[in-house]
Amino acid sequence: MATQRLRLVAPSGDRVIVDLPAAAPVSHVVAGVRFVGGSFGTGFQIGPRGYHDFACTHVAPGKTRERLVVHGREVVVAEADDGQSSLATLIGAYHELMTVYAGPAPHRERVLALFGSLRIEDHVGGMIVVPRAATLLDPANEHFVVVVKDHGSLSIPAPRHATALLPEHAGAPTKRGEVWRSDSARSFVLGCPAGAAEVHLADTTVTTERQRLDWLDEIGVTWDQG
Amino acid sequence: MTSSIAFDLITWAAIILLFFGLAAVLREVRLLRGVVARGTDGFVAVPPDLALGPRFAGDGGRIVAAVDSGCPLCLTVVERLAELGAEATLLTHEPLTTWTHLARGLPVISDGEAWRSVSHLSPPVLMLLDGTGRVRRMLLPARAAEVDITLADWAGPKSGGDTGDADVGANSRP
Repeated sequence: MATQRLRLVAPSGDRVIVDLPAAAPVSHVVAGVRFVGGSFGTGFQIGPRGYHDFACTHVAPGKTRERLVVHGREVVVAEADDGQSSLATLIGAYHELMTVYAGPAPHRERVLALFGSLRIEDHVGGMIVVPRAATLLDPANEHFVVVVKDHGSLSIPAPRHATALLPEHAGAPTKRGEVWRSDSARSFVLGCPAGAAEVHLADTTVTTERQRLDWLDEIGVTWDQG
Repeated sequence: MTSSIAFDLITWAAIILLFFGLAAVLREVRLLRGVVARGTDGFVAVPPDLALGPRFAGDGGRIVAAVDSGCPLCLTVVERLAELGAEATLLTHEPLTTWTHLARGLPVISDGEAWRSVSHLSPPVLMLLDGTGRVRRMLLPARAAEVDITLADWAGPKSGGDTGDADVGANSRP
């Protein structure tokens, strides 16, 4: 079976290679990163261009409340119509960096300070987001979610969190590693020599269970910490 | 004036002066924070490092739009490209027959391998290629109006090597 290789750039700057069967098209790739420092913690999602508009239209319908400029890029602040959440998103060249607030939109200064405390490098393969040295913030975790149409999704944690995911006993061998069934019938843990992923199979009639398991058998994840 | 009243007056004057000083420092901090936030050194867009392959090689300056028939914005972008008379080629992973009535007269190439190099991004993806089929500039439009701005920008005298992304004003959301 032919393979497609995704070469992704993690928020920390690490390179991640995801090998998937070529026949099934990738429909979405999203990264997440969380920073902590003292009693402060904040999380960001990184999606391709159009991510903010999609969220404001389909996830939490809302309207733009404010627009500001940080690092020479536009930051859009939107508030959900129900007032339960708000989004602030920096529009990059290839990706968008989004954070979610509970409740109404925060004040302009808070948004400016938050995005101003980051150093951002936008690559076609992903967005590198690191806190500036003076902020005393540290990255706590990062992960990718890769969605493949009619087959399933992969949740790929960073290596230091991946070790906690893997059982101690041997799993069933696959083409590029080994696999364990999770608690849920449709979820699996996939372990590869340099990466791991939680794989959730799609619940659809478009593909058969056999096709989805064959797809799972071909997946490979390599996290290169350079 | 007794010495105690004079002492109180001097003390209060000093306290008021200190408060003014503190206010001035806080103002400076706010201004500096604004300068840091407005600076462009915190954001870098790295030029694309992608090659679509020999099928896309040519004289250079070729515009390729990666599109999917299931994405409404892709169809809008194709329509806009056709209206502008752009010499653009459509790249898709779907069979050519899917695009027979959707391509608006633009040439279509169905190439799974080339598609996979941009499949992790959301279509539509506009790319400006050099003669070898390598992507020189790239834009992921979020609105049809961005197509006009981008084509005008790419048609200009700028040489390749940057990201192809328009400035903050052009990206501004409605």
